[in-house]
Amino acid sequence: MKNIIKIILLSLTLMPLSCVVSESKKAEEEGTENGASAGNGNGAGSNARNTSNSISPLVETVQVKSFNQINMTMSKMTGVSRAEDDIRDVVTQVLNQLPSDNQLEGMTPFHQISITRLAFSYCSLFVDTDSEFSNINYGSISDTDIKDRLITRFLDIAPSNDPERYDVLSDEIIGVLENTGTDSTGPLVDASLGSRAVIRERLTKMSCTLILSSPFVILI
Amino acid sequence: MIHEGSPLSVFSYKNVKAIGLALILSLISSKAAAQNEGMQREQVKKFYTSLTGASASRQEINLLLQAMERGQLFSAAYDIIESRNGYTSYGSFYNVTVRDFATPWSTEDASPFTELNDLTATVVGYTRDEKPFNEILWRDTVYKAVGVVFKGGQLKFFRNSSYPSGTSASSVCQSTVASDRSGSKVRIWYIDPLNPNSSPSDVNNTGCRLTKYSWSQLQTAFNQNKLYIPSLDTIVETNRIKESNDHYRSIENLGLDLANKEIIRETSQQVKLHRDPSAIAGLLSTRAFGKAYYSAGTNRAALAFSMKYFFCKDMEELNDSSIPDYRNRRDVDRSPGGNSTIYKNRCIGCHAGMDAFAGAFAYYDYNGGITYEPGVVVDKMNHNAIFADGHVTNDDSWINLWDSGQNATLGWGSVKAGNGAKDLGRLFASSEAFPKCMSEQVFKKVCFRKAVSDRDHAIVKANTSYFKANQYNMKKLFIKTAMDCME
Repeated sequence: MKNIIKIILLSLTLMPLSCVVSESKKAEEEGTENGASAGNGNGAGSNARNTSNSISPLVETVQVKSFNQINMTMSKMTGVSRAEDDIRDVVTQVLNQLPSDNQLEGMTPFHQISITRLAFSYCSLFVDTDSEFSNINYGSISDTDIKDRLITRFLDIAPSNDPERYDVLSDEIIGVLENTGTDSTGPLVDASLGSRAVIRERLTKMSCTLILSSPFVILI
Repeated sequence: MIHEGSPLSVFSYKNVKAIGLALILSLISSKAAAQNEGMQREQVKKFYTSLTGASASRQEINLLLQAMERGQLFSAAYDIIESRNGYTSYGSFYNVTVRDFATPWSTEDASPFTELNDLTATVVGYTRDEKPFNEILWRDTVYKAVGVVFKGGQLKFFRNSSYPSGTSASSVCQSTVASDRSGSKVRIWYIDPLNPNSSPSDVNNTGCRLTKYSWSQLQTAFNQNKLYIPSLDTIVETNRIKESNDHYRSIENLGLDLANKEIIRETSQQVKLHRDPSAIAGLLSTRAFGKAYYSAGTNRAALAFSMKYFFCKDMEELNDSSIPDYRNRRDVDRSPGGNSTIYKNRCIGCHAGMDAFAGAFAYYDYNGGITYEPGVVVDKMNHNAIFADGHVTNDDSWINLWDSGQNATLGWGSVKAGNGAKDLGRLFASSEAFPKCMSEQVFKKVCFRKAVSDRDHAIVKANTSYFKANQYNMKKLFIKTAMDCME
């Protein structure tokens, strides 16, 4: 649970990036009208306008997946059946804490916690059973290799098509795999858990969880 | 020094300027092209999610981009839905999108968390099989898993080492068993559930397979007469759908794919849900509908929530005090709080039209399953005689009093009256409001928002016509609406 909270914090750090990029794309599409008003705005009136310009298009254009959509998405991405006992158990436990519809306004931190729990269940089975990831020698594989395999497997993000988001996501995943954690939380996985391979396999599951519970996956 | 005529002379100042300009223009255009491609990628990703609820893989995104370029997005959408030609959506259009679309209809509070039931399964089936959706409110139809029950002579199980000799099963199994006689395994002989009337000796319509289930699990399944699905080697908790939702709960827990046409199939409500054919009225006579709207109360809920889910109208919106109140029942106080003005100005508005319709449900009740006794009006229809001279329900006749006044805009057909829920379902389905409501709800589902702007309303309106012109094909309506939301 302690580890999951750390992953939640990390996945939340990706949220603003995803939303801002979507928003800036929309601004570009609209001939930078919003951007211009934001740049030139002075005084209370223009601040109010800026606020409404920055929030309402976001709500209109960005939605969150609902519980069934999240469950199906994670199942499809990992190849793990929704009917697996471990998955069903977690879904039963967190069902009412997952988003009930697609409205972003209704998204709360509790939803994010539940999404992350579900993601970890999928990732745990995924790393244990997937033909590629279950056969990795976690004692010797590099962090970059794991990171690249995860991103290639799960996301449509590459340095060529989305360098900004790719860089941020890469940094976050490498941060997890290096097991440095944060100043306040310390390492994500306790070194006494087992061998280097055991620890890094666990870190791979957490990196996978980071991706599956990130806005790249749960937002529409 | 570059001489005139030399190949390098192109690097003169003038040319360098021109080349520089061309380079800048080409960079701008390539950046614009990259941006355009990025936007298209985002578009097709959203399109995929709007249909399936899931995320598209990189390969699927590339396929969709190609389809979009060729102007074949509609057929690509079909491929996504049916999980073919490079798309692997695992039936999520049916298991997630359509299921979630219909789930709110089966509860008063429109809870999206409601488990799979006969109503939602039937909506999914009708959409999947592209049946005319305007018939779903009255036809004899219900979708359920098809398999073989343990009792009834269509299934036998036996230890692999000692299959019964001299039985019809032995001849079918003999050849397959001969190659593997391991006694720890158990084998099941069955009549093909898709041809249930076949003779046990018909080798073409019988099968024999090893099962993952243990002997004791199969004995339990036999004792409880569970349902076996041979193609999946899966046992569904029960084949019965009248008294409980266990059948559908089991389908959901087992993760059975609603897209699978050989497993989730249409069947008759007769016997499965109702003995009397006159009780059958499509979704209106499913168990889930009964549980939600025939349970306790006065059966008015069946009408009010039909309006909400099939007409997209809350009762408050239908309030029309100009309607005559001669069908208002006795339980409606004509002078609430001693003030008859309240009745005249407010109560009539809903009750006049609603009570005139709700007679259609006079024979239905719910007690764990729907009960229906033809000719016997359920007590709750005439309880609480607050106003003794009010209308007494004597049969299941109904009258459409909303075909005049403000609610005439709902576009009722020529039928003014009828008997029972089946007739009423026909009336609903033939209205103008029903396809419009379906179009609105599909818009909300695949565009992830309610129709608000003029453009949104134009899409809903155009797709209402499209829906009707395409024989009320719900699958096409989903695809068309998702495409419209892309633009």
